[in-house]
Amino acid sequence: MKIKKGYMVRDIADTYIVVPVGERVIDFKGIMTLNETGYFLWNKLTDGISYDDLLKALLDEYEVDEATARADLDEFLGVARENGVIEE
Amino acid sequence: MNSTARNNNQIAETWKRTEMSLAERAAVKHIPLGGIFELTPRCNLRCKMCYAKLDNHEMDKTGRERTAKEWISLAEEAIAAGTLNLLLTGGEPFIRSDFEDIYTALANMGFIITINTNATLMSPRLQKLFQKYPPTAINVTLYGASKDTYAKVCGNPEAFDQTIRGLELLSEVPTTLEVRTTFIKDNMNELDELRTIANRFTKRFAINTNIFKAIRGAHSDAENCRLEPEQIIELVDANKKYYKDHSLKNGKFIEDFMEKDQNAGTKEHDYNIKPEILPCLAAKSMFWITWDGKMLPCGTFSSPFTLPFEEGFKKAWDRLPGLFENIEKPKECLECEDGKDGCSNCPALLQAETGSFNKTSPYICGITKEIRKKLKEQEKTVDIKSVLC
Repeated sequence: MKIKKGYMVRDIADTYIVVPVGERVIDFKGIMTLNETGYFLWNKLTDGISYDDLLKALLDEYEVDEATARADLDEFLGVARENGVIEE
Repeated sequence: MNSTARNNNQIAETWKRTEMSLAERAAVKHIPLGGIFELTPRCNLRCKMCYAKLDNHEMDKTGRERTAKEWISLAEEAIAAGTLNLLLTGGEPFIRSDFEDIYTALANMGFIITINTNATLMSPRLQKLFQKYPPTAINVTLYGASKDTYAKVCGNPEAFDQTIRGLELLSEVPTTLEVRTTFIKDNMNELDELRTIANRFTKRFAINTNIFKAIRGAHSDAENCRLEPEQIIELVDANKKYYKDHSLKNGKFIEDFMEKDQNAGTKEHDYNIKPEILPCLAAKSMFWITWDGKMLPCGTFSSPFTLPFEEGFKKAWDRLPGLFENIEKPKECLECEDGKDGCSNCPALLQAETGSFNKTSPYICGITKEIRKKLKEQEKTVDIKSVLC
């Protein structure tokens, strides 16, 4: 899984803002915001990563049980896929 | 974001809870969230009410247009400082032969870009560029519903067909298109026809009745051709009535960053511009850079200014609010009954109208009086700025 090319994360006023850039504006008008966990996951996804590796990274980074991590990850990926920002 | 999904976005929740928008949060931190690049004062039209247009001779007396390289480099500095929303305007930005170079670079930097244009210089080539790298929004000015009106307003009857053709080309671009008309005496009777033309291309139709005198070396016939206060109210009411009668919501939007500053008390950065002096976010989270390189809080100001191309964007931005902290309202404003609940005045408008921050303008006072009169007739208490939008 990987974030599609053309999305830039900007750090403005203590907020992570995802901006479509160049050709990507064709598909996505407007902006998205990421919280800290979302920003962490987004960065891992930038160069491509498997679901299992992403889950492992989340567990390594945060003190959280696997069920919670899995639920949060699935929710993030669900919204990301709904907005068309992930390529499998 | 799908609002029905469980919202993992704590930031959005924070904004909702504090009722502070991103622009206001940026103002508290003095981040230049929204900016305008006025790429040129040149224009291929000669609109009689234009506050900005300069010919080559007038330009030479003031300064020089900045090169594409300079604008692109400044844009990189603006990105580093936190600019998100960027408006490209003029004059007519497409008149620059290097517009494509400037736009292509900026479109890949991470801005949300809006372009203001009269659309007469749209071409298949520009259409192709915008189809590849769409601006998030394009605002097209429509000055009249006929060649005759374009002749009267813009000095060029052929520009009417050119504008329509430009709109046709732009309607094939995946952008948010808005059509705007600036109303003066010569086109004030064409409200419905103009809306009809606009609606062929977009639901978004905005009217502008706020015409101030020409500034920064420009010359215009604004004082003679702009609407009288009662004509402004009549026009705004007629437009509102149309949408009400047709149970429609006007799809227009004003630039996101033209918001009020409600939170001066929570400022973290070391500046102090009272919201009763500058009620908007100009100089707080918004800037305007003129064609010759002056940074102002907004495009209605002429001075004071900083020099971003010379001193660097960040330094110019950091210095800007300090130049405006000591503005005081004219003493007549402090005692004014009509304006006590809010007024369509601001220091920039006063400077444009009178050359000074301390002198009142009969025209602006006339507009406020007319609004108050109307509100009194209707026994309403409404924020005055909402009457003019």
